[in-house]
Amino acid sequence: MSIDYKTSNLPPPVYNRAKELWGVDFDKGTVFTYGDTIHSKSPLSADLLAHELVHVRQQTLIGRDEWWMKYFADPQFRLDQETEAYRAQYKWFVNNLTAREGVAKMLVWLASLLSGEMYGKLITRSEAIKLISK
Amino acid sequence: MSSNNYLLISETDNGFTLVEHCADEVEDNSGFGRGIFPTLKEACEGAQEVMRVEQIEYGVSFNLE
Repeated sequence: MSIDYKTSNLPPPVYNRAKELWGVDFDKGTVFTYGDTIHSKSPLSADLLAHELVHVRQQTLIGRDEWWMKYFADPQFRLDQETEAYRAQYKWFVNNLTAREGVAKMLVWLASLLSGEMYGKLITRSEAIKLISK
Repeated sequence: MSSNNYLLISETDNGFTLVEHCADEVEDNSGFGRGIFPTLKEACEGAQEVMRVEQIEYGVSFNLE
């Protein structure tokens, strides 16, 4: 299934709120999806595109502003939405990296992100590994 | 929301080298991608210095094919 999307190298309207809550920095590589637009200062890698396209689809389903309102307010919603996106990103690595060791390292890296400060430290890294690789 | 702040480091016969990165300025001013580092740790430290990032452990991806 193809998903239509646009890209922008400018921060999205929700950026200031996200920065206030979690200290994320657009200029240092944080990527946002706002509606059908992916906001990133630098070009997206293929795995990251797989991740953000999940958010495009999620926001299409319930509405951009409703999605972001819940994302900011509800930690479980945030975790559920990000878990789905990280699974898609991990699947990209599984399908495109042939070395098992490389795939395993990517899983740890993705779990570090999902369990990190960027989302408010929702879970431990071990829990994130289990969620992403399920 | 996610992070685009990472590097792809590849293992060679002689060590490790940066093969891909997300930050344009790295390519512009460092020449880092042409370097070979004897250990992955040194490659990460080199990348950290060039990119001036604080949490390199979250910012590195590995291609060990």
